[in-house]
Amino acid sequence: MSATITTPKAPMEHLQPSLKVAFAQLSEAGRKAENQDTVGARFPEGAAMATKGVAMAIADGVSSSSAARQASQTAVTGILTDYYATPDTWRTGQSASRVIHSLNRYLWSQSQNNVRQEGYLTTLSLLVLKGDKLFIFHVGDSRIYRFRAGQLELLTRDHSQRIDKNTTYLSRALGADLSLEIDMESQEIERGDIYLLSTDGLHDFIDEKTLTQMLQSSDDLDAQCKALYQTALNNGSEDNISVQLARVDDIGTPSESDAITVLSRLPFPPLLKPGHILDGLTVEKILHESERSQVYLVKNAEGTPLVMKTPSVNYEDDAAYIERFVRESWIGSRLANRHVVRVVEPPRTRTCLYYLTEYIPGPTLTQVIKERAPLPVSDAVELIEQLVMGIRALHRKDTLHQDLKPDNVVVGAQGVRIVDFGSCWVAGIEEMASPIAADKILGTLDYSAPEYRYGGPTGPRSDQFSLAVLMYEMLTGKHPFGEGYGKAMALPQFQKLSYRSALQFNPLVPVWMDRALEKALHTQPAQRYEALSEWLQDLKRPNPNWLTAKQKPLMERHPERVWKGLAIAGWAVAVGLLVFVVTR
Amino acid sequence: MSSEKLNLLDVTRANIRLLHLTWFAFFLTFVVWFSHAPLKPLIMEAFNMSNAQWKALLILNVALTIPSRIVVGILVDKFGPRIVYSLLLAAGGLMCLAFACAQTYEQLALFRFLLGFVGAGFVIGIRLVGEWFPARHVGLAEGVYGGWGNFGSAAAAFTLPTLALLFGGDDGWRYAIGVTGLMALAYSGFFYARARNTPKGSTYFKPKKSGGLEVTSKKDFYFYLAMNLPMYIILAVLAWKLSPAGVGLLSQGTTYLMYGILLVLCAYQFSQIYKVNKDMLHGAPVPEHDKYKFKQVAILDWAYFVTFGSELAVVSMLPAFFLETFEGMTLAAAGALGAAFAFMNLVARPGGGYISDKFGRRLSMSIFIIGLTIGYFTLSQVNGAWPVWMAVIAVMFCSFFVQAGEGAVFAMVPLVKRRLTGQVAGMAGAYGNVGAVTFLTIYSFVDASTFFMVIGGCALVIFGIVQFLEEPQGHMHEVNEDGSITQIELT
Repeated sequence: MSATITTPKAPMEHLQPSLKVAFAQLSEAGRKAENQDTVGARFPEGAAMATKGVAMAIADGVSSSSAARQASQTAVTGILTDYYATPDTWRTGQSASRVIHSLNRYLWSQSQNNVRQEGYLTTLSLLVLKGDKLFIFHVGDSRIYRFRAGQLELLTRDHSQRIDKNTTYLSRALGADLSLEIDMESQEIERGDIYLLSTDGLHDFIDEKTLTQMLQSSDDLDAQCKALYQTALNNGSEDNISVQLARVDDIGTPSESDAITVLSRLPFPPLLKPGHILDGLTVEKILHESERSQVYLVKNAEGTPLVMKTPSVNYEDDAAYIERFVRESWIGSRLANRHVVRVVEPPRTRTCLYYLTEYIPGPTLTQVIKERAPLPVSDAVELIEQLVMGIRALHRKDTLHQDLKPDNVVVGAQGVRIVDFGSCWVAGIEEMASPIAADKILGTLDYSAPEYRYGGPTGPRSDQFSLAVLMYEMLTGKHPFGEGYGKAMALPQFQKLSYRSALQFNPLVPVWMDRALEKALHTQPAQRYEALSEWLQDLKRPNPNWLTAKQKPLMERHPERVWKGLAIAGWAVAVGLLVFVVTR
Repeated sequence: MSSEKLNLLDVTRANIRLLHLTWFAFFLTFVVWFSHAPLKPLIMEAFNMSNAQWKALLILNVALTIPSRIVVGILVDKFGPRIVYSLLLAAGGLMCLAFACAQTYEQLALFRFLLGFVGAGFVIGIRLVGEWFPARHVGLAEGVYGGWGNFGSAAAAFTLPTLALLFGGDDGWRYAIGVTGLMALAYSGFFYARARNTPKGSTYFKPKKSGGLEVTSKKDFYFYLAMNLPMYIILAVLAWKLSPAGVGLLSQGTTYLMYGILLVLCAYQFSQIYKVNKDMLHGAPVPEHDKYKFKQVAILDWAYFVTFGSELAVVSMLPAFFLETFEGMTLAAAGALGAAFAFMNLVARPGGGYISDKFGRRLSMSIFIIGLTIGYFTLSQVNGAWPVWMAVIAVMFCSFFVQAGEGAVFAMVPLVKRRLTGQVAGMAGAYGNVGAVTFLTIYSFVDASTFFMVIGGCALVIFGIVQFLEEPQGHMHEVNEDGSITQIELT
């Protein structure tokens, strides 16, 4: 049985204007009972061809482990699907290595949790052909060869260790350890190059000279695969035998290898006016304009209102800005939550850089606060609960919103929606070196957590802080730290600020709710709630520890008692004196 | 929430309020900066000055502006425009008061020199307005800012002579100038109280890269270095002018010290430029989309040299020119007529930008420069025999083209290289001041008629230079009749 994941009709001619690759593959159990190898390849259509390229992967499940077959399948399926799901803005190296690392982590945890103590170990060699370049990602002892102009060259290095004459051990494999070093390589490709990917069942039994002769013999890749298999079998291979052959018939344009060029391919749209039609979308109204972007209300051919956001020409050649803008739409498109605005695919291919979201009629939270603050406590809790749901959907995708403010929340008929992802931080993008210097500080002064400004570590608790500021503002119409908050820049300045109890401005706020706010608004992230759900719980039900007011001086709690007491004491002294005088 | 048109009267909108707040700050810096020009006879009389000394004073007034633009740019990046503008106004107000109280020519010269710092206010407001307006409106908003602000020199020429006469006495001019200083001081506080660096709910004030300009070829690197030399040369000429060889304000030793400082500054700046461009010079490839021609920057610099440079020079001498050319003219009337030049700022500067947007960059720039050439040649012919109204029309004709040219330069600055807009604008602005110092230095050697003639001659040369200007390229969009947008790629 062959464990081929995608079986393109081989030899496959891919009719792309740029990169053309002919391809064939084969994977057989050979003399073994089970095929633990997996091979697979993916030839994407359309834009992904330029941004992601062609990927082919070969994996050899490590034979000593009975979960080997599953491991190799997981690796190849995983890499071929997840690699194409990474954002277009990521560079190839970044995308593939991140996907491989996460597969490694998955396989490792499978081994850890396996009751039969089986290891999910596999080799993996991935070849990506994109534009005029190739990218190799390699772990283990599968191989990738290049056959160019009659010369065969091995592009990978086997990760194996010879113990004695008869025993070699794999020194690196996917799933072996939490940390993994991946061999990465990037080279230019040329027309007529043939790439050969193989597992040890093949290349251990055919020497390079024979291999060279065989590759020269015919143009039919399919027939060659079969011939290679047969030769390996005849030479006594007792392992599974897998081979992939890819021939470059035409190379792509070189510019596509450059991240910035890919990004700036789409021109910025011009400033639009009501009545203008762009890609079949009619502009109805300018909703908002700022120094950084324009937001329009548009209508598609069916008359559905949508919101179009376009980048500001001010940033036409600012690569960091463009990357952020493209990422914004990507972040939105991978979220599906009732409280996060949906990103909509444009009806036609985009001719300019912009993105579309659904249109939510309704006021922004800014307007709601302006008109209605202080909001009834129950309303505020309801709104914040929905916001928490939206934010948790982001957090589940390893994304921080970073710029929660009333302007970015629309209160619609179906509840609140978070509408802006302009400042989002996605785990995995930032940690990789990017060729583009990113803007360091994002977010809005009054609503962003202190750690953004004093440079402390940020995390989901930073969004918790912003949510708490919103809640506080809904309840009181004020900022929890007053005017000084916007000016503080360094840690000592933040430490000087003190939380102003919401009770001061709105006596209807329950004491326990005020305490829950205070905790979420702590200047030290570590002192805030562990999770948003805990905070939400404290907002919805009284925390038993906080049922009474904090111990305040008597003068503040019951001033009248203080004065009464003083008066009584005064009289007592007077009476005492009188008694003293009379009795003398 | 937003509309296509910018309504300047809609003060319910925060950015309109800020625009008014900011252009008035710029306006006041101009009032303070040119408060001396219309009061020439009074000041000369009080100090028993020679004509040469007065002309030296005019040059001193614009000299410090050249380096201080760089300093102000750095301060804005570090502290934000709000506080820097407030401090600049306050400092200007104080120096203005000091100038009003000066007892010797040396003191007068010193404070005029220091007041040159106020001339750097322009940069601050451009940054501030840029933070507050969306791309659709920013061009017009900055035109209004620049144009209405520049009008400050006209306002000073218009009012100060009358004010001085109202106060009366030998010290009337001192009170008049003092009042402008007090106004600047008071407004400084008001501005700080009302202005904000960014719109509410917006991100932080974002510093721009300062230091050297990035260029994208080796040839351009040397071209850029060469373009920096005129700034130092003209300052060196000024130092020479002030040395014993000239008006003798500086001792020979101090003059050498000045030359030394200029040399060090020049070396420092070159090292900065080298630092920014090091990678490129060592052969790091510049991505195709990032390339631009420094030639474009240089042409804009020279265009601003002759437009803004001549404007600063002319507003410094025009009130006195009227007074001296037409017999029997009162000081107040001469001031008012001298203001005619800066008057056109209200419409010509924004208008120049508009025309440039509409009718092509090179064509409109060429027309403006030819217009101002004709204007200056006409002015050189003005003499006492002319009817005064004819002279005023000639002045206004000339100034229209001068200021439209300024508007056209700044409309094109962002199109050279968006990312480097701030630095390109800064360099053009510096060239404007180099122009002012150059023309005023020339003025110190010749009479008014020759002075105008020389500017006209310069303009002719620059007309030739402008012919090398290339229309900015990129994607153009065309709106069809049904409103659909098609994209035309220009290559």
